[in-house]
Amino acid sequence: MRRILVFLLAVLLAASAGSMIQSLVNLQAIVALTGPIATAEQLSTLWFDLRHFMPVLAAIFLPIMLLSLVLSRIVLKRATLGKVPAVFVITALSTWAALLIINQLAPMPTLIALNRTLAGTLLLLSCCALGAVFYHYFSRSRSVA
Amino acid sequence: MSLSRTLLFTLALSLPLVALAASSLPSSLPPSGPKVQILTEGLEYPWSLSFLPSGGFLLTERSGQLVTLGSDGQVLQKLDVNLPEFYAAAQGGLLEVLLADNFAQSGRLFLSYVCGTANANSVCLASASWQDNQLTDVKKIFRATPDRRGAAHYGGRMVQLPDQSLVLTLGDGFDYREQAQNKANHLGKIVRLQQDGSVPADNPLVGQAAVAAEIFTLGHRNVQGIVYDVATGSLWSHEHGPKGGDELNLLQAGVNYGWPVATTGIDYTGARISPFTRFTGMAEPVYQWSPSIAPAGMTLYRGEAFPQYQGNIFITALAGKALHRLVLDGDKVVEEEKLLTELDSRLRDVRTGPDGLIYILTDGPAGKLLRLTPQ
Repeated sequence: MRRILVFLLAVLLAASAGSMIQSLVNLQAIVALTGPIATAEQLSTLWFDLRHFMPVLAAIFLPIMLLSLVLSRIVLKRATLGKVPAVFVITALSTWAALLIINQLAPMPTLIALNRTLAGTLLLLSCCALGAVFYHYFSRSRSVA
Repeated sequence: MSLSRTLLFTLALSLPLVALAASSLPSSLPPSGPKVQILTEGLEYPWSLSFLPSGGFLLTERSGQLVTLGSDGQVLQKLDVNLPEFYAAAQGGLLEVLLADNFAQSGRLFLSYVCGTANANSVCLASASWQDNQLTDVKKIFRATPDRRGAAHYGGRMVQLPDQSLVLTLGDGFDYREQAQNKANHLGKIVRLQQDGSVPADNPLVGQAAVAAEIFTLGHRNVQGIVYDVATGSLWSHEHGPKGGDELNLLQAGVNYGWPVATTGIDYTGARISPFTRFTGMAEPVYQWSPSIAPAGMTLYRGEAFPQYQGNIFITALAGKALHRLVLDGDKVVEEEKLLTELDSRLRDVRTGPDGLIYILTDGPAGKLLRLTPQ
């Protein structure tokens, strides 16, 4: 039960981070066209995206993280690798592959706006990968001193 | 007098009164809807319709066919157009066919289409001659810049203005929405060209440094409907919004129509595109639709077959699966009616025929040409 809760929390954190980064990148793009945007407007956009975009991103991240964690366990059993870097890299690569598949299937060239640029894509991959690392770190059984 | 005789007498007396009352009802009552006739079936993603002066039709199929139909809708010919660098994928392919105003004498027509490759494509415009049911003298006269990756948001509709110049709508390429505000390129713009592709000297940005002189208006997302009303001199367009925010605009040279800064739509993922629904210096739409109807074609009715539709705008909707009739009062929409909802079909294009009847193309791999006639 604890592992499930930690996993769901990890997905939520990863999606929230992804949502907020996309909001800031989108806002920056609009600022470049209009000049400064009031802080209240920026906060309103962050909140709007957390309510409307974050759940969509969480639905995308959830199966990716699940698959990545299973894959990481298999890889770590067969190879001597640093656990945190292995989980990070495997999840990031899985996210990248998933985004490629989504964009192939979706009617538009790129579903998630943040995924339109290399920098945005790397940030998106990092969010999902850090979520997996969060789960890996906090789901381990701990001995009580 | 028995009760039954009294009732019959009363009924007989009242019938003429009922008829008189019905004939004196105000004419503002909604007219009965038009009758739908299927002229042609089995068209592959038909996109644009034009009327041959000799009767019959010339229409485009997105995959690259120019189809000739007889006046009864019978398919007479399907011609594979051989356009320079033609590229068909997803939303791209052969788009509009526009007959020059002097087509009956010159045989001149214009074709908008997607050119290039999957990783570097754009909208091209070609002029050609139509003689003996063949395209000859095909010349590429314009290519929108820069090229883009992906196959979405091309625009591609055209209209000829009274001064013979051509107005061509373009899209933002989906992934490049911010470029709709960049005056140095053609993404998200409507351009105005001479019939040889050159820039009219009175285009609004001519003479300015580092701008694309072809630009007529800017700040558009994906414009798939444009019509010029000779009676009023008005140029109308509509464009697809994202999730919500489809717009009807009254175009004026040099004006910025706001995308992606000012929009009531949001991204398909639910994300906000801009915090602004309006912005200083950017024109607001005359009318908008949220949720989106996906407007794909437009005509402004000036025919005689439907007197009740005089001056109305008709818009075909893909997602909305309806023909939207807009009643105008000057530059304002005062009433909207949805027609043809019973067809449950994505509707691609709508035109007023030279006979005053309304013609519609449905979308899809088995598209149809429909004719609307008065009841």
